[in-house]
Amino acid sequence: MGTRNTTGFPSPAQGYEKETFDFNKILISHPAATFTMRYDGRLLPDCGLFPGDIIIVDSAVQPKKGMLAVVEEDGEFRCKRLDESVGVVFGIVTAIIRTGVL
Amino acid sequence: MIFHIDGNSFYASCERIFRPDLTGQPVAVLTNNDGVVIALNQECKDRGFKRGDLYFEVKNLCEQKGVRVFSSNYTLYADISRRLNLLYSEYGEELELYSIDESFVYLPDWKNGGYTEIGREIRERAMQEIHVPVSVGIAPTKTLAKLCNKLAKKYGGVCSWQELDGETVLASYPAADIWGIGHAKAELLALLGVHTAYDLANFPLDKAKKYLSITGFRTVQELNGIPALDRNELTRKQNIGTSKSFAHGVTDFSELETALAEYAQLAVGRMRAESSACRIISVYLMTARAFRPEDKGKEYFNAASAELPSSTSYLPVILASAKKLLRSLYRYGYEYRKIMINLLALEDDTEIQPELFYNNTGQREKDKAVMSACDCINAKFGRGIIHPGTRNLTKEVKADGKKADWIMERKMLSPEYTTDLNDIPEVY
Repeated sequence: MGTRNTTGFPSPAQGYEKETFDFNKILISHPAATFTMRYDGRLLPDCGLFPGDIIIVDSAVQPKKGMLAVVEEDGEFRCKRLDESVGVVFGIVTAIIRTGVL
Repeated sequence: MIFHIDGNSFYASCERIFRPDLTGQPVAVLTNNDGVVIALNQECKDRGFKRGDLYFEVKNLCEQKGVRVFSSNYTLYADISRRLNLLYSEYGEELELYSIDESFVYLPDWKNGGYTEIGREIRERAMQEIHVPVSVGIAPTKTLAKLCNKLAKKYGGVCSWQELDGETVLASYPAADIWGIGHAKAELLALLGVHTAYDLANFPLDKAKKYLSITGFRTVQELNGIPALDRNELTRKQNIGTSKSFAHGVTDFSELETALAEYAQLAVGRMRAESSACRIISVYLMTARAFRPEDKGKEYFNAASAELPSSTSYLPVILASAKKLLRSLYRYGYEYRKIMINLLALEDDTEIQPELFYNNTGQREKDKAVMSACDCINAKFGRGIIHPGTRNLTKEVKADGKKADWIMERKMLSPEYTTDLNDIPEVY
């Protein structure tokens, strides 16, 4: 249906073919510096974080106060809003993906 | 100007990225089949361990001294390597992947280059954005850039030849440690009174040609600041790469596939000529770099790697895997300018660990015979006149969804943090 032209007339869609949009492009600004992680902490509604969420963490974003970040603390990764007291910032959470929402 | 950039204790650094608990801990990484210590971080070296230690000999000592030991996770290292190369490509007009943790980046020759600052920026960004330390050597030739890289530790991780007193540095640097001068050549040179890199740089060129062959002759030129090693020319191959820059932008997938096939065949031919086999295949796909902000949307640079069930030099296996990688990289609507295939984790083809259940030795012998026949025919009638058909042997996942890792003894394998959704790091 429509994909093969035996009559010689070009498909009216020709020249307009496009692939569906690319989620990588939407979610990742810095491909070399972006890591995918899973949030497995307690529910943090203020941050929009649910346990089990996939988080996109960008290490090329300059950390600023108030940003949601993955930091290294007590030998593990933790998700926090940045203030003065946090330790080593691994990256900034730039997107949250929740799958299986039925 | 040439930048030589090298990941410090690369495998061990990769293992640390997603393990904040390992900060300051000694880390060691073992070779295939967990036989030998292949990489170790400074903390581990400080405890008396070294590269090449046999694991069964030091196993107890590792436990006593709290060394965290890992099997080699090539999938992880190849992905981190890909990220580093992506970063480097922002700086150079051309990139040469020398090994999984070493690259040469070619920058235009500017009068007031500010190269050291660029080197520092690359180093800082690698640490900040990819979380691995790198050191940078900067010089007009590859040999000097390598030498500068070795000195970089003393200069805060970045060392530029232009800022050194060349003669003094060469005079205190052993000739044997110069890139391309092997053990045998070093002994010969010692007999000829050449002990330091300075002696070697001043070694008469006619004698160099006579005693050191063409590569040694080039080394002498390179030490004098004259580029003599071609891009992509490697004296001791750790990986084999071929790349193709297209004269015009290519948008069509099948055209890219054809180019990839051609270059895969070339790379495999070179690898086979050295009796090597590879375990990892990387494919890079890129558009032209966008220099104007409004062109950013036209820019695409991506790469993907696959680890084969076992090392191979059999073109159809490599090609099938490379095509699969290309398919995963391809995005519609870009004008691609360059495609690269890189064969990594090379091993001697005669010493490959046979795979337990899958590719038995008999099959390997048959594969080899097929390839030898093809090589002969191609040699006689011209390259590429025939090539064996593609068959898909990359069995990456077993029926139960588990990775087929049991084929290699890798008991201490870390997760595929960046390439498998089931293995991504957890955050609390």
